[in-house]
Amino acid sequence: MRKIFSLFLLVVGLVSACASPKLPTPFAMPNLVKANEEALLAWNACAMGPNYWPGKAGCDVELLKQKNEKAQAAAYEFIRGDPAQPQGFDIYLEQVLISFRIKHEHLTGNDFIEKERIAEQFFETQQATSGRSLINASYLFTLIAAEGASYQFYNDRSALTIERRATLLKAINAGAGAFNLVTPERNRRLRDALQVLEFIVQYINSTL
Amino acid sequence: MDWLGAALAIVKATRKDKLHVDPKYIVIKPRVLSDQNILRGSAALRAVLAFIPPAAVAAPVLGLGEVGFNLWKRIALSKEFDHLKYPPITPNVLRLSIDIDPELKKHYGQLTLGHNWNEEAISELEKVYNDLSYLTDFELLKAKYSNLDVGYLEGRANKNRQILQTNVKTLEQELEKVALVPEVDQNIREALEFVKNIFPAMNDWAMFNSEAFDEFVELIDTIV
Repeated sequence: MRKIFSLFLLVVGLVSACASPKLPTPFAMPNLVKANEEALLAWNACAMGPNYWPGKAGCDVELLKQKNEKAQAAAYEFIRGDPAQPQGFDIYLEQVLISFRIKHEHLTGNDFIEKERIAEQFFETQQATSGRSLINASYLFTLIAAEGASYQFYNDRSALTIERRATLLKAINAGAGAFNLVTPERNRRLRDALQVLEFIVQYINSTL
Repeated sequence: MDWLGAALAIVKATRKDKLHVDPKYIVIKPRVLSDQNILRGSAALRAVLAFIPPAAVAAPVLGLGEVGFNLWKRIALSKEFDHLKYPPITPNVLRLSIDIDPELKKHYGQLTLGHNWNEEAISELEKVYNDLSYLTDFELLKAKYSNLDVGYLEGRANKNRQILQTNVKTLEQELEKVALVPEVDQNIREALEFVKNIFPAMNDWAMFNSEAFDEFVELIDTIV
């Protein structure tokens, strides 16, 4: 009984010590979780299996876009607040993948570069620390890099330079490391992304 | 905070007579449930969490870094953060994937041309590509896409099945690390064999989305 009471006091002590205004980010966590949940609910209302289905009964596309942006903004605050921590990265990048699908007509080359930069940062941080989210970070980095590179292939081939190739090779290595370690559904996406990246690297090689 | 209430709840939660475990779960999670101290500790933690505002819990939990973050997500969401069962397809990857696949380009290449590339084309190609990426049943693919080469469809169905099987193999290897009791090991192997056998019949989204499949994945997740 005394041990349990000591444990209880320890928990309370930790709560008091850590709940100081010096750590503002954790207090925003419930808001981020809520924003993410709402955005995913809106996405699920518009998805049929793996397909985006805007005409599905109950789907509100405008609401989905709003919630997606709100969740990205909330997650971005976490990333900005402490880039060394993984908090927020996974939520942000998962929402980015949804935004690629629902807002593709409005996305520019700069949007892809910015998202890829954040995905790469997440991957590098995880790799440097052998973080527990390394597989997820690798998967997200590969998918986001593949989307940006494919966009460049169709809209801005001059951007596919030898320097760009270095980043794409890094994304290929990251994806290869996560292959077969994610769920089957994600593995399929990863495989497609790797195939596309390899094709683009070959294309860059052919232009040299 | 209701200190008296919290203290009483902890005492109540950690009483030995509250720790009775249904034997069927002992078979599934022998290492966790055979340890009475862990049970008692987790019961106490649950009791404490019930009396502390979520924002106050978040600070120390997140202070633990990534482990804390994952723990918080479990507390806040009551499950692992993996809501997106099927990641959305990204349009430019879809377009290039069609273009670099000779068979698909032959039949659907018109839709990926610049002047045709719009939401309508993406929606049409998305369905085709997702079917070819996820369906494991050759007969179903053949019925849906009679315009595509039979050998090509067979290859896609086989590849899809292989991907599922490789993932099960990985799970199996993980399970071997924890299944130390022969009886448990046997149960797990039988369950995995069952899953392998249903793959050929996994011909629509219903199987992936079924409650039974979710439960099975959750069970494996708990064990590993």
